Amino acid sequence: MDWHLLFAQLLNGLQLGLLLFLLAAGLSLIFGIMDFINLSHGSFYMLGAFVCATVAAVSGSFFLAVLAAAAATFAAGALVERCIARKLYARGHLEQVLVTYGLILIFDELAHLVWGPAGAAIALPAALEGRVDIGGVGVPRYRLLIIMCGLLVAAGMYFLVTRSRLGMLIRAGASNRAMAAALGVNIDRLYLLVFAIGAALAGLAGALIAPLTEASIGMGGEIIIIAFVVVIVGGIGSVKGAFCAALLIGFIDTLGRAYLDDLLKLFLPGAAAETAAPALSAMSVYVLMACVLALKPRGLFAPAGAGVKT
Amino acid sequence: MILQVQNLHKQFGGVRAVRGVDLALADKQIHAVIGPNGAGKSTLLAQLAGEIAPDRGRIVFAGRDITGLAAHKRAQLGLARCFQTADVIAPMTLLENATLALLAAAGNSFNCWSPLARDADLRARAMQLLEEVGLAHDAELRAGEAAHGVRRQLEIAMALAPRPKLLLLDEPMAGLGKSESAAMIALLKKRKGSAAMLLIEHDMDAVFALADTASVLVDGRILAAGSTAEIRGNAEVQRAYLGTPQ
Repeated sequence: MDWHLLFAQLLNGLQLGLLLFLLAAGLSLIFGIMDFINLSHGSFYMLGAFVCATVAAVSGSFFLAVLAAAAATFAAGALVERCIARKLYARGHLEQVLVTYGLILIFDELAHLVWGPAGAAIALPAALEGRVDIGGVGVPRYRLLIIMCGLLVAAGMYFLVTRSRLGMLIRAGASNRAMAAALGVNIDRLYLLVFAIGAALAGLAGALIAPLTEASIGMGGEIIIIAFVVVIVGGIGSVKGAFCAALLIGFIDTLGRAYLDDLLKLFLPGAAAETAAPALSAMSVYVLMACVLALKPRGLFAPAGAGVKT
Repeated sequence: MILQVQNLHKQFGGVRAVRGVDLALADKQIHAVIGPNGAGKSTLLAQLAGEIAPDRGRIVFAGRDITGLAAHKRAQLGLARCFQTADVIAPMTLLENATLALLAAAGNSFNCWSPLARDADLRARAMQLLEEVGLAHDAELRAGEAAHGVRRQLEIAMALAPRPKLLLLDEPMAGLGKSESAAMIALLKKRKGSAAMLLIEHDMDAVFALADTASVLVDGRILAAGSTAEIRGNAEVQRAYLGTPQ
């Protein structure tokens, strides 16, 4: 077995997992706290990528571009919450799905109008190009940066939700909205803030992935399904759950693509294994979700009190 | 007068839950609203707290018209409320619940991204809040795992955290055993004089032990109002609600 390849694949899995976490953390909080299914969460991911590409091209600073992407998606999230999402909290999930699916189409079309049909690529600054040698494996510097960013945000989110004053209000609002309001918590503003923070995290993920994949229309719709899988597996409303599930799914997806055919060849004829492996690895995360749902219907880390909201 | 309610109305579909209620509550007094189930008591309370918007009428609290004000703004003005179901934040400990109440009362919590653990003063005040209702020894217990009576006391402590001018109580004795009820009555008695209270209650012993004045609500209307002694002696009230003594 090639240990260097395995190490590289594990890093890829970690990177994918952390990107999924950035998307799923906001999605899970919005689903858990407002009971709102936001299919258009992926549009903030796309928006982040495009804004990052444009600002990077104009200003020449990638760092500035990432900040701008987070700020722009924070603002876009706040706008969507105020104008659209807020009116849907009391409605059923079907209506939420219909409206937010419509939002995906609108955001895709807007991106088409502003940035044109072609994607927007981002050139990395020289300092982020090249590789760092870790244990004999050349790891791309930029992938390390993504991993560092993801871990930092994860730590920040954990601190925010479990240790900060704002987090205490968020947890209270998630557990019992009427009571939090009776105590004097401004629930409307709390929801606005949670929604905007979630959008900014998705935008950050889009900005970070853009130099690898380039910004493209439809990238949000592609990632949103897998982000929902992360939310469901982790437990709706749990940041810790989103983190663990995102890493789990990142590893399973990456390692499945890399090693499943070798594994199948152990007990299948070579040709059959090579045909079956891609199909099976594409399915693997859904198989995982099905298993988790069968064993723990509310996800791995469902927060206490969720699911019994009235 | 801390609270004046004029001609309050609320209709749900064809059901007229509250129809033309007037109430007046003096500073630091306890006023009980009694009446049979379905009389509109909880709807009335929800309108006072700002959870349900009245169709008609006016609510004046501490000299200010609050009829159209959101629930959290009323809370910040000093109008606290407790729920019928002993609402606390189940996944949090008693101490966290108390801390939350203090944070929410401060109102400007959104400026504070600061860590809670470092705020010793806040923790001390939360602990004191629990001490006042005799729950300090259970501070690290999860509220969801606490007995019903404990959750009730916690809820009262949380409602009192911002030192409100008026406390709305929705059946605080409901589901409590005899000794728990006695403890709750003692707790509320102790707090009498620091805040006015509007008490919805079925437990007549509690009403007569606590309230200065009372209104009888039947079918969304005030049937009678006066001192608790007057209400106790009112023949019409006897018939409509209190029943014959057993």
